[in-house]
Amino acid sequence: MTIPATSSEREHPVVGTVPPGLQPDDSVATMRRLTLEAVSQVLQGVSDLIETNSTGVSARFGKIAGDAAMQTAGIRDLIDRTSTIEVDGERVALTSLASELQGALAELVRKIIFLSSRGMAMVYALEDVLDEVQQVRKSVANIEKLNSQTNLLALNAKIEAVHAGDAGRGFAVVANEVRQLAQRTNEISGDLHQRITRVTAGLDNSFSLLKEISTIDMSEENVFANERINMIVDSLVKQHAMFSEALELASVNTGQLTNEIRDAVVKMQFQDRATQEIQSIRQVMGILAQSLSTPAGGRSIDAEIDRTLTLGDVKARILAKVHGLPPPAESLRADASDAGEIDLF
Amino acid sequence: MRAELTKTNQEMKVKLQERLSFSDHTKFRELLTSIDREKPTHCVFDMSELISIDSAGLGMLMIAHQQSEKSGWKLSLQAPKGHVKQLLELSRFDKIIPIT
Repeated sequence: MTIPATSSEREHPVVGTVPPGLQPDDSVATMRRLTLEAVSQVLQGVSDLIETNSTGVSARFGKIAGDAAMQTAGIRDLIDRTSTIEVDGERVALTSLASELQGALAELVRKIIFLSSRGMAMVYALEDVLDEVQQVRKSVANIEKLNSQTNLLALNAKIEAVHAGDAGRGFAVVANEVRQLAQRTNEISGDLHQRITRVTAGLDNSFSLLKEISTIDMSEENVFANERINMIVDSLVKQHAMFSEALELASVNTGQLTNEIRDAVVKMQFQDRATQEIQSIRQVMGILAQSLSTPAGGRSIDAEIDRTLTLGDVKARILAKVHGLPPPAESLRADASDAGEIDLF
Repeated sequence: MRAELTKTNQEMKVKLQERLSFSDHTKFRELLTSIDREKPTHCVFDMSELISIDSAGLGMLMIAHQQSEKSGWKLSLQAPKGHVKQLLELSRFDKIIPIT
């Protein structure tokens, strides 16, 4: 549907200026008036149709823009959420996860090594103790050797005392005492010997326990596990980066979509302007219809237009045309920025 | 473990070969005693031919470090490879003993 009211080149198809002195036939005038009224009603219908539909479309566009904005916010939130993971109630960034894991593993390995080095130091200390114990064992063996000699000497002394007869009786008692002492010493050294054997066994046991502590497996598998952890975390970070990039793009696109829809909503406001212009046209039609029923004595059409029309620029354009003047400059229009779009409609 | 000791001026070089594990503790202690006896200013452990090391081996390197501080010589590790290198890196050993 076209409304040619704004075209300055074309003749008005419905009404023109009534030439002075030419009285239109009554029935023709009535038909023109009725036609004008009918056209005016149709225009009102068009205006209502535009208003109803554009209001509906605007509302829907507004809703779409709102949804798109929510979607953008949702995507942003998703990007934020996926860049961190929750560990024990604390948000940890994926990028710092790798270094945290590596740090934890390195700390663990360091502690193992510390333990091993303490264990090895203890092994060496135990070795020294074992050496000392061996020395003690040797000393005890020497004591036993000396003791058996003492025992032998006591026996000899006793034999010599018997040979000496009465004179050696007292000496025999001393020799007996010495022999008893040697037997006591023998008992003590035997006990020492047993205790040393037990200490050595205890030390050997500690030794093998320390070996277990010091030789915690640090095999290739453990190093491989560390590499595997690094690889997994790296992949996780890379995948997240790709994910974020895609989401970022989606977010930008949705953002653009939101803006475009908002622009469209703004442009839908042409409907206000169109309604106003249609109202102006209907006012002009009313004036024309009125002029047909009261041809003489009334106010001139242009004066009536000038009095009735409220939309300044439409009035100016119509009056210019009526007076045979060139159309007014675009800047005279009420809303210069919307002019082109409304003219296109 | 096998160890080859060489000495030039005040610097000693110990080439460690095969594996360094718990069973080498006696030999390793003898090695430290030998180094101490020479009274070097520097001692470099050449790790390039050492195939593997366990935690006891790393512990022995720590003891070597403590021994060097006690006896007044500087210890450094040279050219570790493969598994040994990875384990030294993993445990941040370079923070304790310089690795070249």
